[in-house]
This record gives sequence, C-alpha cells and structure tokens, in this order.
Amino acid sequence: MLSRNRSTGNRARCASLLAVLVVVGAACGSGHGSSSTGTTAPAGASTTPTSAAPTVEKFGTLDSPCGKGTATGATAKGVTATSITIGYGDDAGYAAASGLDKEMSDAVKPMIDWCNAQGGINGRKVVGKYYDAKVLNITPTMTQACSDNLFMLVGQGFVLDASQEQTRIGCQLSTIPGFAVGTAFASGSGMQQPIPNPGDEEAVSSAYQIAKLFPDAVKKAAFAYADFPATTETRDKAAAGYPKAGWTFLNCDQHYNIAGESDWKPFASQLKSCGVQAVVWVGSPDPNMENFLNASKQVGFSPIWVTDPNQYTAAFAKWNGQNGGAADKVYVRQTNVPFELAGQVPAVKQYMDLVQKSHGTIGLLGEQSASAFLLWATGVKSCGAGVTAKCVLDAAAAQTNWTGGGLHLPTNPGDNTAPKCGMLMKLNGPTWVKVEPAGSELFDCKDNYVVKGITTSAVTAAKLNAQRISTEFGTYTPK
Amino acid sequence: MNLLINGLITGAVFAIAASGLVVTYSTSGVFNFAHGALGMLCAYVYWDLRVNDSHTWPLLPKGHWPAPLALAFVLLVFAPLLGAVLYRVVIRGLQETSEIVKLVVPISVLLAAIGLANWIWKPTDSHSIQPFFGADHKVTIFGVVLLWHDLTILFVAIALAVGLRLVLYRTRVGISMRGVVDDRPLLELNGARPDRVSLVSWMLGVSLSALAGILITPFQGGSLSSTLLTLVVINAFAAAMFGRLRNLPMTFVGAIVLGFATRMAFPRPTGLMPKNFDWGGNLRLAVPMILLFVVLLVLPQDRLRGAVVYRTREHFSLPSMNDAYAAAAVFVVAIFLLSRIMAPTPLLTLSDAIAASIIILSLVMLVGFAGEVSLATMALAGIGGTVLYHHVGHGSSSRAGIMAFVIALVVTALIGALIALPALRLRGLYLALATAAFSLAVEQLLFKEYTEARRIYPATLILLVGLGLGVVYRGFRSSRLPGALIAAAVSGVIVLLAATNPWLQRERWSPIFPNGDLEVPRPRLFGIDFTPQHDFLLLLAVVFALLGLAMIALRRSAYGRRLTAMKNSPAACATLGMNVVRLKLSIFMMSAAIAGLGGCLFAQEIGGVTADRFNLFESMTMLMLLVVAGAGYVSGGLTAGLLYGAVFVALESIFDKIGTDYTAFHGASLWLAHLTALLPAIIGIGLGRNPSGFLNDTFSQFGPMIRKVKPVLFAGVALELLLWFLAFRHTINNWTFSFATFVLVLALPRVAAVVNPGAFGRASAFGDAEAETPLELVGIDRPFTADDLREIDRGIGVPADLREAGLDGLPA
Repeated sequence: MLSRNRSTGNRARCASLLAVLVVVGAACGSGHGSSSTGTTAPAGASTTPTSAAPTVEKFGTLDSPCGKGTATGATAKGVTATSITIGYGDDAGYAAASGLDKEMSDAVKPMIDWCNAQGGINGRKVVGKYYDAKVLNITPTMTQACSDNLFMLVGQGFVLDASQEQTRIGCQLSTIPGFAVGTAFASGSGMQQPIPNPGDEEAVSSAYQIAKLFPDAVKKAAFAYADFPATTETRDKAAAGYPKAGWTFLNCDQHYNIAGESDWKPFASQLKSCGVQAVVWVGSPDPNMENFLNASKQVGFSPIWVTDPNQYTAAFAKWNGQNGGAADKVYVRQTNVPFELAGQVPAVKQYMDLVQKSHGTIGLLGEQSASAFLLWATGVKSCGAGVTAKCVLDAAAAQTNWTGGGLHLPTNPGDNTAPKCGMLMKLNGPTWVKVEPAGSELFDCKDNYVVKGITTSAVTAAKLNAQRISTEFGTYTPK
Repeated sequence: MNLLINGLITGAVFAIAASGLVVTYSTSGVFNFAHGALGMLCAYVYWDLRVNDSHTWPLLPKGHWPAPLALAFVLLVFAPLLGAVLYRVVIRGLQETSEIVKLVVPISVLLAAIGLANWIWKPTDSHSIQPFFGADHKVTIFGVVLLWHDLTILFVAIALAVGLRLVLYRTRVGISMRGVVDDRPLLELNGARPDRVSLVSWMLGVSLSALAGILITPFQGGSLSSTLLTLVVINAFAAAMFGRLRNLPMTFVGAIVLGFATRMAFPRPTGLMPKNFDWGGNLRLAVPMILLFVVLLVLPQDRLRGAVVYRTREHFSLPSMNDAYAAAAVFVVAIFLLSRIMAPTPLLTLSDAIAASIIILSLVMLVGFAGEVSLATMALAGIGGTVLYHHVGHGSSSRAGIMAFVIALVVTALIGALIALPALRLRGLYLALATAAFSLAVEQLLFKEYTEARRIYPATLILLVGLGLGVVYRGFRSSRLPGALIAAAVSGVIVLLAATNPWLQRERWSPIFPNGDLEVPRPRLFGIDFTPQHDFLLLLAVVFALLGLAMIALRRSAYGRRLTAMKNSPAACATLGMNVVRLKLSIFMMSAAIAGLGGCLFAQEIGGVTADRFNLFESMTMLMLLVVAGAGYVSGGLTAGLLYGAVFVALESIFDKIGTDYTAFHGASLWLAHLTALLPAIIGIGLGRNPSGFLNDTFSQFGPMIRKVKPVLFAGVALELLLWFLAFRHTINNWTFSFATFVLVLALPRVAAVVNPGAFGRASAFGDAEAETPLELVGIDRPFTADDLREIDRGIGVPADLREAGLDGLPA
C-alpha cells in the first residue's frame, strides 16, 4: 500500500489535490450559531493560564474541563480507572506534502499535556495515540485504530475520511474530529464536529459580504475550479448557494487541471472576454492560484477573487508581498479567528502559546483540533465517572453556542448545520486584514447565511436518512 | 492573431522542453524520462540562489544573487555537474543492457528527483521565480500582450533548434556524440573516447533541462512544484517524436504544431472550440497524448531486428513444472498459516501486496516472456475495476459474481488488443511511449468523467473508435504519410462532429466514473462470500498461485518457446514463417486480461478504483520494481508486488514507530522515513549493475539446497512451523516471529553449504570469485592460471610440450 504513496509522481500530483481536499474539509468546516447576534471579542479579557496558575484554569472563555477527580472503573472501551486512551492524527507522512495537516496533531498533543498537568479529566489521565494516515493509507490506519482499544478519535483530520467509514462504522469507533471532508463522514454515525460542514448545506456568508461590498461585480461572476471530484462538488454547492445572495453567474466557468496547467493565460483571457468581474476560485493557493493570478495580471484581467479558508496561509501572504500585490483582491471566508487577532482573543493567544511551547506548527486546522479536544473533554467531564462514548457525543450535541473558548465562530454541533456566521479577510501586500464585519465584531451572523437542502451527486451517494445521517456505509448507535 | 501568437509561444515552450530530450537521446541512446524532473531540480536550485536568502548550500554566498550570475551558475556549473554525476553513477551502467532496463532506469531517476525535491523544498511553502526582465516589461504585438520573457522563450527556442543542429552535425564533438549511439566500438577504434563523449552529452543534456526549467517556470506563472515541469515535458514527447527523437528542426516544427493544437482545444475566443464544449476540457488535456499516438502511427514500421546488437546481460532460468507445483502449494499454505497469526493491519498490507502481484503478473508475461513493454498496466487494471463496478453496482450487500469477472476480463482483453495494434509495429521505447500515452489519455478521459455535468464518455468512445480506425487503416496500408494523415484527419473530423453534435451532449449518459471513487464490492464465488479479510487474502493467494502455474505452463509450451524466440529475434521468427503479428496480438490480449483481473481484485482489496492509484506513475513503479526483482520469473512478480505493496510500508512503519517510541531518534527516523520514500527509485537506479534482477542471485542459493541437501531443508521447514506454532499460541510475538523467520531464511543456504559443500558446485553464490570467468575476461578479472594457459595453447594449436619448454613466448 505504501508504494502507492511512495510513487512520487502520484504523491506530488496529490500534493495539490489534497490541499484542495483540505479546502473542502477544513475550510468549509464552519459552524452555525443558534444565536443570531454577533460574537464580540471579549475586550480586556486577560487570561494567561499557561504562565501563571490561576485559581480557575480556563481556555479562553471556557472553564477548563480538566482537573483532579475521583473517577474509577473501566466504564468503556479504552477507559480504565486511571486513564482514557484516545487517538488523534493527520496525514503528515504524505510524502508529496510532507507534514500535511501536522498542525492538527501539533494542537492535540499540547492540549493533552495541558489537561494532564491539571490532573487529567475527573482524575483520569488522557493518553493519546498518534495515527498518520499518509492520505492514501487510510484503511490500514483505521483498521489499526479499531484494534487499538481506543475510547474515541479526537481532533484528527484525515483527508480521505470517506474511505475510512466502512472500517470505522464496522468497529463503532466514535469520534469528534477536527474536520470532515467526505459527505459520508461529515454526516456519519457516531461523530460530532466542532464546526459542522454537512454536504447538504452551504455557508454563504462570504457571498453576502462580497455582494454588499461589490454589488455590481457579483452580477458578473464565474467559477474557476480544479478538475477533481471534491472541488467540483464544492463548486456545485456554491453554484446552488451563491445566487441566493444576489450573485449572477455568467456561463463562463473554467475548470483547470488539478495537477497544474502549462499555461494559465488562456483561462484568464476566457474570463476576461466574458466580462467576468468576480471569480470564485476553488483550489489550492500554491502553485495553482498563484500562477493563475500572475497570468491574469499579464493579460490585464483584474476581478474580485473569492475563495475558501485554505487560502489563508502565511506562504500565500509572503508570495503576495514578493509578487507586487498580485493577490490584493483575494477575499477569504473565515470560520476561525485568525492569528492576527490573537491580541484581542485570549483563546487564540493561548492556543498559539501552547503549540509554540511544544515546538509545533500553528494553523487554522490546529485551532479546529484544539476546539475538538475541548468539546470532547468538556463532554467527558460532564459524564463523570461512568463515561461512555454515547454520553460524550450527547454532551457535545447539547452544546448550542460552542466557540472552543473563542477559537472560532459559534456553532451548534448537535444540529450538524452549516454556520450562520462569517468573517471576510483579504490580502494587503504581505499581510492578512479583516474586512467584514467592519468594527470590533469578529463574525456577523444572519439566518440567510446558510443555504439548506442542497443536492449534489456526493450527497446522493451518501444516502442521507431522515435524520440527515449517511447510510452509505451503514449506521450504528454509540454505546 | 491571438491564437497565432500564443500558439507560437506555447510551441516554443514545448520546443525548449523537447530539444533537451532529443539531444540526450541522440547522443546517449537513452530516452531521458527524467528530463523534466532534472530541470525542476535545477529550477529549485536557481530559486535558492536567486530568491531564497536563507539557502543552505555550503560554500555559496547567501543573499539574492543577480539573475545572470545565478543563471550562469546553474547552467554552467550545477547542471553539468549533476549530469556528470548522473552519468558516472547511473547511466554508464546501462551499456549493453536491454531496452527495458534503459527505459526503467531513467524512470527511477525521475521518481527519485521528484522525491528529493519534495524532501528538500517543502511543498507546503511557496517557491516562485520572477520572469526575466520582471513582470512589468511588456510589449503589445497585434493586440496581444507579451512579456519580454515570452519573447526570450521564443528566441531561445529558435536558437536551440538551429544551434544544436549545428553543434551535432558540424562540430567534431557533436559528430562523435552521435557516433557513440550509432556504433560505440567503431568510434573507439577511430580514436575517440566514447565514455568522455557520453559524459559531455549528459552534461549538455542536464544543462538544457535546467534551461527549460528556469525559462518555463515563469511562463507557467512562476510558482514551482515538483511535477509541473515533468507534465510539460511529457506533453512535449509528441514534439520530440515529430523529429523521431533525432531531428531538431523537425522537433521544433512538431512543438509548434503541438502548441497550436493545445491552444485550439480551448473554447472560443482563445481557441477554436464551441463555447459550450465542456467535455473538451478533458480533451484539451488529452490532446498531446492523442497527438503522440498519431505521430507514433506515422512512424515507419520498425525494422525487424536480428540478434540483439549487444549481448545483453540478462538471463532467466525456467523452473520445472514440478517445482512450480511445489512452490505454488507452499505459497498458498504459507499465506494461509500467516493469515492465522497476523494482526489486522499487516494482514491488509499483505493482501495489498498479493493483489498488486497479480497485476504485475501481466507484466511478467509481457516483459519477461515476450520482451514487449507496457506502461498502461494500471490503466488497464483500472478499466477492469470500472467494468466490474458497472456490472455489479455497489452497496453494502452487493457482491461480484463470476460473470462480472468474466466480462471485465473480456473487455480489458479487447482493449489490450487495441493497444497491441500499434505495438505490432513498435518496439521498446516507442511502444513504451505509446502505452504511456494511452495511460494518460485514460486518466484524462475516463477517470475524470465523474459528474453528471461532464459527459465525455461518448466522446471518449468516438475518439477510441477514430483512433482504432486509424490504426487499422495504418495497419493495412504500409504507405507512410498518406495513411496516417488520413487516419488523423478522420479521427479529427469525428471528434469535431462529436463536439458539435447535440445528441452526444444530451443528459442521456450517466457518468462512467461517478464521484471519482468507485466502491467495488468483494466477490461471492461458488457460494462463498469473500468479504472477510482472511478469506479474501486466501482467494488472492489461490488466484496468484493458479495464474502463476498457468503462466509457467504456458512458458514451457510451444507457444512459450515461440514467445522467447520472438523476444530474441523477431527477424528470425519471421524468416521461419512464424506469424509474429498473431503472437503479439495474443500476448497483449492475455496480458491485458490478467491486468484487468488483477485490477478487479486490487480494487476490491483497497476498496475501489480511484484515479490516484491507477495511473501512469504507478505503472512505472510497478514496471521498475518488476525489472529489479527479475522480470522473467513469476516469483519476480510476487517479489515486485511485495515490494510495491508491503515492504516499503513496513519499513516506513518501523521507522515511524522508532521515531514515536524513542524521541531521541526522532530526527534520524524521520530522515530514514524520507529515505525509504526514495528507496524504490534508488533500487531502480542500481539496476544497471544487475539487469536480471536480484532474484537470480537469491535463487541460485536456494536451488541446490532444495534439491540436494534435503535434511537441512526439512529441518528448516520444521523449525519454521515450530516458530509459527509459537506465534499462533502467542508464546512469541509477531515481531520475534518475523525476525526469526528472516534469520532462518538467510541462514539455511549457508548451513546447507556447510553440511554438503559439494551440492553447491564451483559456481556457488557464496564464492563469486570461484565462479566461472568468461574466457575473454581471463587475465583481466583474474590472473592466468596454468589451466587457462593450457586452454589457450589448445585453442591456438600450440603443442603443450612447446610451452613447457618455454618456447611459446607466454609467461610461465
């Protein structure tokens, strides 16, 4: 199985591919707040729990779920009188993109240490087992996880997670993942996401926000999307959702080779000749979007670009600085609080401190994994001594205003609905700046920021039941 | 005008990419698949010097080098050095090896280069190169905005076409470069030094690839990636083929044609296609491949070869039928026993490996038995899996029956026949390129047909029919150009008709590759459901064993001997009245059918057919590993499958485990894990040293032991069974079991050699020094012995007593 990954060409081809997949998973991950008010950064909140030892440990605005306790007994698989064993992981071993999504395990590791330093959860130490699915090695990885006597999988992110479902549901391994990519998993049994991204709903906050800023440009829009099932599905979902926000798509969509094009200028010329003024880009920043932007500059095509959170990278910002602001009109939808705002949001600062202290990589997906861990730990704490996977999932589902202590927009994990909130950022030379909502609010929330009941071929294949749970690989009720 | 100018520039890009290919091929006889990858490496180095202020090159000053300096360093120092190292270490070993080895080694270099780039320059970072003269220096020609960089490309392309032609045909070094390929010994006799000439041509070749890398990257937008350039160069194959890999001006013409063709496949106004020509998006990517296919059709019939010009160093021995039965039985029993003690994850890995081995058997038949070559193995396997899927459907309750397999086999066999049609005329490199083109076309046209909106299936069918007609027509008419042109024109017209025909774009065809991932259900055969992993593994083992037996039987039959004859000398076969055409057609069909069957099983094993796992690079890896393991053996197929599916995985997991368990070793284990990623490529590169594969050596140790030292054999088997029993009872763990088995297998032949030294004869594998030295190398490889001298005396008719009297002038 390995040499599949080993075959480097394939790897490299997937490098771009998986960046795209991560778009779909991580990036589209967005949550929905039942509250339709905006979340304001808690100004003046000054919790620095890592350095000093305050009386009540907190993570951002959240009371720490960890602490001493007197729980005993092996109440579930992976739970003993003194420990709870969980799995976490990523695709870091994927040679085409070495270190892929590493920020996810880099977040879970220090979170576990942070928790154990306080005495574990209800007195049980958390033991973490790391899994590297290396993208294509997903089935053996999940088989291994199934045979490892884990309580749950927490904060993990595997790009090809749809392929894991047969195995995972077969061994009834429940999970609170960092993200979900495939619809079968995003709507699967025995899972709760901190920021849900169901396949049948689309978060269109950025569509509304852009329409507000550029009411004329959105009347002349087109897609540029990578020629790949996952990206095509993202495009289909957006095509169903964006018109609700007043967008009009000219019949001028461009689909490009996900492995890269030898010349991007024809695509830019096409869009230009159609009179397109707003381009919705589906794909990865490096190298495809960067090359497309340079080609557009050369043919004199200068529209608004709207993309997903996977474009929010330091590398892309640096590139923009080096390439004369070629990406200055790129707008990105955000569901997590960006690191530029760490000064205002204690949870982000705390996350960054924890990860930096353990020499890990910081990233948006890391925030999601940290949030997943907190969601899980909060559930475990509330379940007390007799903790079970069912109890933890139910507790997670009962959260209606979950922000991971302030790491991201408010969500309602139990409903598995797309987020009603959003933040819009753009590049300004080598830096990312927040555009919408203007003012101190981090996210603005509206009921119409979610488009429900979307049908794509992926949704059809996932065979959602009346509860919107995928039955493609069967279902189970967690115990 | 837009089309004209841009087509010209695109053509120039292809011309630069192709000219390097042509130069290396015409001066070294090796088709450098790694051309693009080497250029990519050089472009990264250029980036390091020009852009990266914190590069870690020893001795080189840091900071942003000026463009001319960085360019000069890469083109005149780094690239030639890389070329020289490559030639000394890798390429030189390729002399006197077969076409297939010459093909596989550059592929290994390609894989290694991409792996290396991903290792050194993290793909998650952005590496971008600015165009020459900056992005702001533009000119407008007839309304088309061009960068100065674009004009530079055009100028360099023309200069290369003219300049290289002059160098190769008008200068002494150029002529000797070409001479090396044509007749090395003759050149040597004329006082040239072929080794040095080849060295120079590789230095030149890598420099050209560097030039291509540095010029083309900014044209593509400037951001580097490890595969982008390889993609361009693969597309440029068609251009190189226009000049038959030798003629540079023709290559240039071909590149321009290619440039226009790819531009024209865009919708209006950029190209010529109708605006709503959606499936053209895929066709556009397949255009270079289709052109390559067409150009290969135009090529004249390969002359029937006589005996190979050079004595190849490959050698395969043939097992007896009884040995084969025994081996098959041992194999199935061993897999059964193993499956009882293995943990679920290794069990999956082993199953993967055996399923891959079945696919690789198709290559054993084609490459090892018939001396043909194919890079379309995984494409055929994917087609097999796809057909099975469409016959069975999916869902947790559906199972594949025997009929589904039969249909998949028949379809892949027919498609194999379609590929074989050009193969009837092509050999070696050309055949490899034709099959590679087919594989890429399948990737672009079949595996991308995943949504309702992208109905390329009918177009694909029509295209295939068009090409098929062309091939058939070309087959019947031996005339060169007219036939091929008519064929090309006919398929072109059919494609255009299809593009504009509304009926074909109606939503009546459901996609053939829905969602890009076909979940292929496991089989239910003879009332047994093979869904559980243990049972499926056993099924795989039985299928492999039966196929292997059938192949050995085939190889031993009259048909098999005809195959060997064809492999050795098609010309002699034709002279003797053998129908080479029918033979080739049948072997391609059989091989395709095996690939199809293997594809079905492999898809069932890994869960489905995805474009990621059934592509050209996988086919290349498989071919390479098979050649490394020994292409002529069924066991070589098994070994290659194990390498492909299990060994590297296992190695990497071990390093991972060490890294996680002992943090002190984390750095080292990470390094080793990276190295494992390069291992297949490194093994392939080492191939030049032993073209028969390593199995040959390994088996030469076991053969005599099994035959002549029975007590040791039985003791070994008993010991192994004991180990298994202990592992089965969990007395020892599986790591101990694996390690003990490994030691046992290594030790047995040595023990046998001690027990019965006579069984191994003089040419034992333990004493290569004692091995028989060919007569012509006596005195070079080892000093003359008295025996040798007597032998020489006999040969030249000197009476023995003369020499003993010291009268023959030879050293005593």
